[in-house]
Amino acid sequence: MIKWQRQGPALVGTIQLANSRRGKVVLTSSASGASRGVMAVFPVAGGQSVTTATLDDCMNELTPAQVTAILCAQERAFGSGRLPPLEAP
Amino acid sequence: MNDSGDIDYLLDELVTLPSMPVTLVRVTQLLEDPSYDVHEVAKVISADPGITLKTLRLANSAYYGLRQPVATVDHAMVLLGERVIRNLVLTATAFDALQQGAARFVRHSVSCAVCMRAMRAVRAPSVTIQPEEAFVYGLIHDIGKVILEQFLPEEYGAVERMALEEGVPVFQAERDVIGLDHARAGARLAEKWKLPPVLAGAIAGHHDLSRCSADTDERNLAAWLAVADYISIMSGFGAEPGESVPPDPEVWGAAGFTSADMPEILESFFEAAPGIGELLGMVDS
Repeated sequence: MIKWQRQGPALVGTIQLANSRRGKVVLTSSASGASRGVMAVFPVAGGQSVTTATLDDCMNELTPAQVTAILCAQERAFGSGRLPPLEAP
Repeated sequence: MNDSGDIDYLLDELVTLPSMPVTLVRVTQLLEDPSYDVHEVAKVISADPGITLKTLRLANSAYYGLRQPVATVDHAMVLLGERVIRNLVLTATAFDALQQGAARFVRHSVSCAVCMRAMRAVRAPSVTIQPEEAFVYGLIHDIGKVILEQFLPEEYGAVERMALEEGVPVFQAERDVIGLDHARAGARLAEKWKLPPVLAGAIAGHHDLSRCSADTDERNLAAWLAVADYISIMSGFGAEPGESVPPDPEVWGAAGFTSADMPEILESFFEAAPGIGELLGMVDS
């Protein structure tokens, strides 16, 4: 289960991909637009910089449960009120 | 009491499973005859004011999208057909049964019903269940929780405390505290009400696919129920406080859902979710 935390206007959670790569998933807006309001951020070896990826880029490395958790959190945090709001610290 | 408790003893001595409601018994009997009389079926339903009211409210709800209002059961039968009416009566009966449960159980059950129907809408060609069956199966799948809480309120309070404090899934806490989980209790009720065997088996297996028979449809339905359960919890329609355990890869495989399928399935559910409030009003009426 992904634990979400508010960082400014965004929601941030930690994920681990099927290839064991760990990173952060950042929710910034509703699902409209090319990035779908979701960005994954991964540290590059050495930890000095990061790479980013869209949800579609990561889809094959995420489980259906992770995709569900991400998109439900996004809808609850940034959607148009169709779901109960998400309470995140 | 622990896991080794005799499930039959628990069900026979501690929990009195409600009998199949008379209206549902009669409607089921009549519809088993291929040459059934529509007016006779409508008469049986109409003799039960509570079921009639709920059936007509459901028939007129956004879920059935009829272009003209339905005022009588006869009219509903003609417009919707026998299969839909049978499931409408079952839905109305399930609403009655759910009325005995805590509001959070009802909300979760209705959410799972809406989610199952949304999943069916996206996956229409690849599943054998009809939309109205998907809905009512989702509605009923956790009925065992209502039964356990109704008959064993103190023990169920301990179950919820254990789930919250120790972070274990509710079904595991039920097994530890009561010796019986809601999936088994719900499956027994489905058998007692002579609901389709595939549904009873799927209810039994929705937290543990190994309980399902070798029947592919039963495993598929159990996996769908597990996924609908998880989507509902993630969407804020969970029945209990505390953490949720995501279905394992075997469940997603049995459901036939990949990661790439989920955005469309979830959007279908999100679009339908505002209807949950309307349906909750029908449970309470």
